Amino acid sequence: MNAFFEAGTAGTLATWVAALVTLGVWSYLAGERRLLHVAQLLLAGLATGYLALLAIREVLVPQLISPLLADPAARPDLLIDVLLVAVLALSPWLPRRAVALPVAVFVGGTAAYALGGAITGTLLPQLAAGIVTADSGPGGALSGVVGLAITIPVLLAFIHGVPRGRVMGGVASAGRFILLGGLGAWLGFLIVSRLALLVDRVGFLLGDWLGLVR
Amino acid sequence: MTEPVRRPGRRRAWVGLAPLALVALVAAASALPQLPFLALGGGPASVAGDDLHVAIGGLPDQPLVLVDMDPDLGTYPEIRYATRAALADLFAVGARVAMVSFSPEGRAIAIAEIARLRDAGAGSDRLVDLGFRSGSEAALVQLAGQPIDRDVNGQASPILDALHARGAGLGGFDLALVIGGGEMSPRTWIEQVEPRVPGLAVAAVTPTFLLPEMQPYRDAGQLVALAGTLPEGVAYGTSVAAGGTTSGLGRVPERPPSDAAILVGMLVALGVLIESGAGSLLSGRRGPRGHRS
Repeated sequence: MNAFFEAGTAGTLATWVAALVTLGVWSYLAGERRLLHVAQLLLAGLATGYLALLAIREVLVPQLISPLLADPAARPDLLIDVLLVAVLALSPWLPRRAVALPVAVFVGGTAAYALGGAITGTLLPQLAAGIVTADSGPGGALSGVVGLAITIPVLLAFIHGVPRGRVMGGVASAGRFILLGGLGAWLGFLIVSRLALLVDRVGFLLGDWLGLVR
Repeated sequence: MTEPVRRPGRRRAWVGLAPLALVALVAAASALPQLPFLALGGGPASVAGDDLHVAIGGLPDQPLVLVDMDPDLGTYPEIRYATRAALADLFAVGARVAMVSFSPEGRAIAIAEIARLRDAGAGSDRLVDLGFRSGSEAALVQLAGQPIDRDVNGQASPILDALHARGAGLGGFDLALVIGGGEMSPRTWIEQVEPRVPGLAVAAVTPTFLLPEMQPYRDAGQLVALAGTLPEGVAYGTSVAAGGTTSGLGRVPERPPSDAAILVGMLVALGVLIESGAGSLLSGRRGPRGHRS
């Protein structure tokens, strides 16, 4: 039971709509495309409406409009924000140099967050965790060696445009196979995720809708 | 000696029926009762997912816990059982929970879960909605650097008052539980929050496809706990359900995913992989007319 729908009339109606849309999507398996198309349009429309509502109710009104209406002088940063967003929105009609500033702020800020976080939050702590110390024991040492034996070939597989000898070429080739093996394993994880989704939908139809499974 | 002639039309019909057969098999398997010998994660006695149980059980009295609800709609069914078990586990130990989202999909799920918890009896002294924070990583950084003193409606709350008494920021929480997905995963928390709020313990519930990304963080201790696979989540949820209450906020409100249905689906997936792999190998060994080359 997904327990999303309440017990009253509204819940029953929502359960029926969800069940019928699920069956409509699955009708594609039997070769029926129109119901799937209707469901896709429904999803696109609902998602757009939801995003607009979310942006208005939880972002624009409380974080921008209300503070500006209450005391515009107290929040000059919001006026700058509005200006930058307005420039981005009007970018098709403005000179490229005018648009470059907000784009640079956006791209630079995003990259700075991502890069800084990757170094301080992932790279350095993971390097520290990967160091084999004297008290790691044979298991830790073996784990370190295996990690190194996987990491080096995979990194070498990404080196392109540089002349490589036979040994380096062989190691890089092994790295590509290791990479493929990793991708295969990840695909397996993905299948489990999607399978859980299918089982959940079937459980919804049999349990919440038809009441056959409790 | 000639080989039997292949009939492509019949094969196409089989391929066309395969998805329907998969749905029918999964439906039939879902109707079966839970089978102990098939139990995902090994059942209540399993140690899979134990670290989350230990992390929540080790929290101080009436802990303040921030739940970042940011799963994807496409993967939430996989982790919903573990997520609800974690929420039940938190309420069972007396936690006061604040819920926030950084992705629109996560916010939609958070709204539904908050409504469910309110129906189950979570008042403003147990659960506060911090709403949706736009800006993804930047919003997370902003949350880490500023006081949290108002809920989604701009109102004060007993939970946020308690947080205020501890300094009002993210560091006032005893635990951050990240229900992650592809758009906002626990990695963002580890990269953006842990360097800024080093004392904050971060635990996570994530779908299986994020496991290769999450496992190193668990091994390095950057995540204090992780339910990162379906068996781990089911084992954790089953153990919480076995030890929890039968009503109210401490109850796990649903049954785990059907073991038999998952098994049937995996067998079908395995069969498809073997069939396609063996087909490729055989076609590679044979000539264009089906004769051995």
